[in-house]
Amino acid sequence: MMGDPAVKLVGAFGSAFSHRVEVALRLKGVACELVLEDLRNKSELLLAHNPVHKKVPVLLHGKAATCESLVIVEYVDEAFAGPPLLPADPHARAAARFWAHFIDEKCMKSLWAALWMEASEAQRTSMAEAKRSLALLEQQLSEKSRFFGGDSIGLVDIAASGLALWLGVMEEISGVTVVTDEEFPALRRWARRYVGNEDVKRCLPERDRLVAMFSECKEMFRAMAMGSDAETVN
Amino acid sequence: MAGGDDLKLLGAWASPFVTRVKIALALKGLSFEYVEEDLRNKSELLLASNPVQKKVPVLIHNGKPICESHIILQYIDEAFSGTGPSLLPTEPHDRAVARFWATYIDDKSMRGKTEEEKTEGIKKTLGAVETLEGALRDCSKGEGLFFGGDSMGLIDVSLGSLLSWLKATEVMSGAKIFDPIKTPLLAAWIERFSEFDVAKAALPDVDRLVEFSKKMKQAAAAAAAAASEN
Repeated sequence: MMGDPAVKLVGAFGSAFSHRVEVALRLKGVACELVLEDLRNKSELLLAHNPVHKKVPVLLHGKAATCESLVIVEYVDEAFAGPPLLPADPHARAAARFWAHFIDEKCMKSLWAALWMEASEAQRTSMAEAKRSLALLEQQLSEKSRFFGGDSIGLVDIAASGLALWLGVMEEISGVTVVTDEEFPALRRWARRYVGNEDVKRCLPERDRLVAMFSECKEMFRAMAMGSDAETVN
Repeated sequence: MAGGDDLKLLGAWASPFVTRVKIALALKGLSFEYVEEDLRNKSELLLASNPVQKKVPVLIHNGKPICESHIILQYIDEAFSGTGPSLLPTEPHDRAVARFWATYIDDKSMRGKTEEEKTEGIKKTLGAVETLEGALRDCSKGEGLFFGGDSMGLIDVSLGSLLSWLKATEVMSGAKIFDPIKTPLLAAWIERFSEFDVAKAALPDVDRLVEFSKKMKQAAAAAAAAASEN
């Protein structure tokens, strides 16, 4: 619309976190300019607008800069008209935020350790934790609903998007399988539905390019996993 | 308070996350039943209400549980939007800024079981404190009164709820976390926050926390010693 302040997304190719914001904007029907960073050589634009974390994604909307992918997704939901990304009912909203947070705090961390740690007691513990967490997430998908958000994609689907594409890529590169059709049928069905969605397709990076890009990082990921202590399982 | 609203908070006296919810409920003027949990012997109600994390705080509103302190605060703000002051601002970007700093505060607040983890934690906290000084300056438009601008908001409650633990840490480690010279706005903010009735009522006694922390350390050391024997 004429007169609306410009929307610019500072992201990076292949970033699952940038994808979260891109898909949120697309679902709301918001046109944005995408600026892709070279994360080894961060721009002044990025450093100026995210001085605290110096990370992507950053959303620039007029004069406002917003950081942290899930914070940005909620911002996009509130600042722009279009289909809601969170439910209206406060209790349902709390549940959506809970699972989005759960994905980042519980699933992603243990998954990362399970994929990249060398075979060891610590790696097996992380694998068990990852599967436990994913099983809880699996239970959130009912037979009736197409997405975590119900009939349409919502906050939890967006938070889980890494599981829909990036996880498979990392499993292929690391040689470690975590999510199978047998153990997680609902999650796998959801993943196929997610990546097949028309809006999502327009902001998903090509799988082959992701595999090529992350293959080069394999040794670095393994070194990072070795350096950190074993996930404290609670 | 709206007629027929039943609010129950499952908590533990030492938990800053429980303190956070107590302060928020008090700010909104909401009455609630408080249930002190023994975390070594969790109640059926807690386990049923928070089966995923089995942690406090849990707010139960008309029988429905809400978990995770930040999520509870936003829930209270939304479910009781007509009652008392708002915890979050109305403008979307201001709301995003509040959520950003609330997340930051929890990421940087030291949590650690071993001495090593605690020392690392303190370093992280000291680094974060300078960043927060800048945040306070920006959010309060230079005045330093509240992160929430004119009145207490989400960030004030998030940081304020940690105060007893931060002071207990200063006592136990000797580190000065809020130096009035390096972080003058924050140091003043702490003094001011500690004087509010809602804070005084909710924040646990620092000496009691220090004692509690010492006992936990002794128990952990004993357990480690027992584990390393034979």
